[in-house]
Amino acid sequence: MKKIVLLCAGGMSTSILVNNMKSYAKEIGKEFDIAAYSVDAAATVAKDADCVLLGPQVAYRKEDLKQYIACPLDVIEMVAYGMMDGKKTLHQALKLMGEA
Amino acid sequence: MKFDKLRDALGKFSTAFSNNIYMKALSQGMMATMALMMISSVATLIAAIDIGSSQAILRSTGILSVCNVISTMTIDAISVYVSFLVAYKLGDIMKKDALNCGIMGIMSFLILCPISVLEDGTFINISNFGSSGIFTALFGSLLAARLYIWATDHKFTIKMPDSVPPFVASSFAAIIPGCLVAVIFATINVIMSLTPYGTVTNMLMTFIQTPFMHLGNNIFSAMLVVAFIELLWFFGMHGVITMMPIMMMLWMEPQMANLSAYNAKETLPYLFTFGFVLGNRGARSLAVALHCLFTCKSERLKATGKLGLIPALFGISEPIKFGIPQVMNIRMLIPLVLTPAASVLSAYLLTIIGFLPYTNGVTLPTGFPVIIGGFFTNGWQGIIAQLVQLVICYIIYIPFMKREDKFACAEETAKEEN
Repeated sequence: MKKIVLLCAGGMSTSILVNNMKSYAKEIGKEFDIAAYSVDAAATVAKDADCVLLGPQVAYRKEDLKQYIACPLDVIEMVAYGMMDGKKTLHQALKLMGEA
Repeated sequence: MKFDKLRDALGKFSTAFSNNIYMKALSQGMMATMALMMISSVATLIAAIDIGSSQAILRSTGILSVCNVISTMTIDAISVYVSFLVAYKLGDIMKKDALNCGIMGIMSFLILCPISVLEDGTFINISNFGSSGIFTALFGSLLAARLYIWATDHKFTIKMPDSVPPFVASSFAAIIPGCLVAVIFATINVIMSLTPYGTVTNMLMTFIQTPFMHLGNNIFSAMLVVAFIELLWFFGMHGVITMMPIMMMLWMEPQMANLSAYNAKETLPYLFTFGFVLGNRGARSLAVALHCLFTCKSERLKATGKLGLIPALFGISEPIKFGIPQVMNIRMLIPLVLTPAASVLSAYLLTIIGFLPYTNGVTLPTGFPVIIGGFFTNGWQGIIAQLVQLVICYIIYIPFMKREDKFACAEETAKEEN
């Protein structure tokens, strides 16, 4: 199963988004391992991830994170994040993993 | 464009700040003490329950003693943990032997503590381990870990033959760098004892801690910092995380000192603490969510309000911040920056007129419900203060949300006409 990791400051606001992504994944009949963490835990939690998405509020850490994260890494689009849009965000993840 | 320049400057500022390895080690190390602070907070809150004869019951059942021991060995010894954690984190960040670094941190801290030899034994006054020792722990452990890493990097080590197991070899490798750190810190200790300050802690108190606390101990610093946090948010950066090292320097020691005093049932020494400043920024996102739900006509804003209400109740502001959006939305800049500053000012005024008691130093976990949180830090007056702040934020937002709603509605009709 593909693992998608979301990172924000404390892993809390992204966890709401994770729930929405999971329910959208169910809707389209797919299953992913999606989880949210604090950006400080990036090095350990993203080790075996297939893609990593950053909350826009920690976007400025992107360059710094590249040294720990080997898989594709992107920042979640601001409005999609604000609206906790599971569909848009999952599609962004799929695109990153080259599945869309 | 000026706007872009400002954003770039702030971006550089926060990156420089949050990417600096020493700053990172300080703030990650301090963050790692959160668990201890919570344990201590729970013990303190239980010990403080005062309804009817509850205090007598707590005392006779021994619960009070249990709580007191827990507090003494957590909050009142916090600097010991900090000295280990900060050094450990620096080792971790620099990808060196973090455990050895941590040990160097704790060793350097203990070496710097003054020892008193009395008739019935040798003592370290436990007050050295509390909040007053925090700067010694922070700077001492950073220096110790950095020295240790420098010495190992320059191969001041005892090289073991390859047949020696790596675990044993690693502890041998630590000998010379470790001795170096120990000697340097012991020398500092001895030199300090010859000065009028006596200890490093006293010297840091005079030169750093006290000036820092003067810097933080006024309403203008508090307002400036909370407003700046929101300015960072405006540019899409997580304000609190970015400002964390500065806030910790300014207000963590008062926070811990208050908790210790609260625990010992003494008068709380500080008005401006970490909890006071962070906790009295007003339930701003809640105010915005309420506007969205009750006064806005735009479907998009209504949806944002519905989505953001529950998270906002738990102090999670991202859905509102990115949903309205408040981030990079110049129309929202004024209320965004103004509301936390006005809120903290109102809490300050309520305190100096004698209504709101000082914050007790209890650290609430992130995601703790807003408004109710005030009860645990300031008693029932805390709830009133938080409600006052909510009203202030709501009122400040009235004209701005009205305008935002107009924009959003116009956008929606334009879309429909297309």
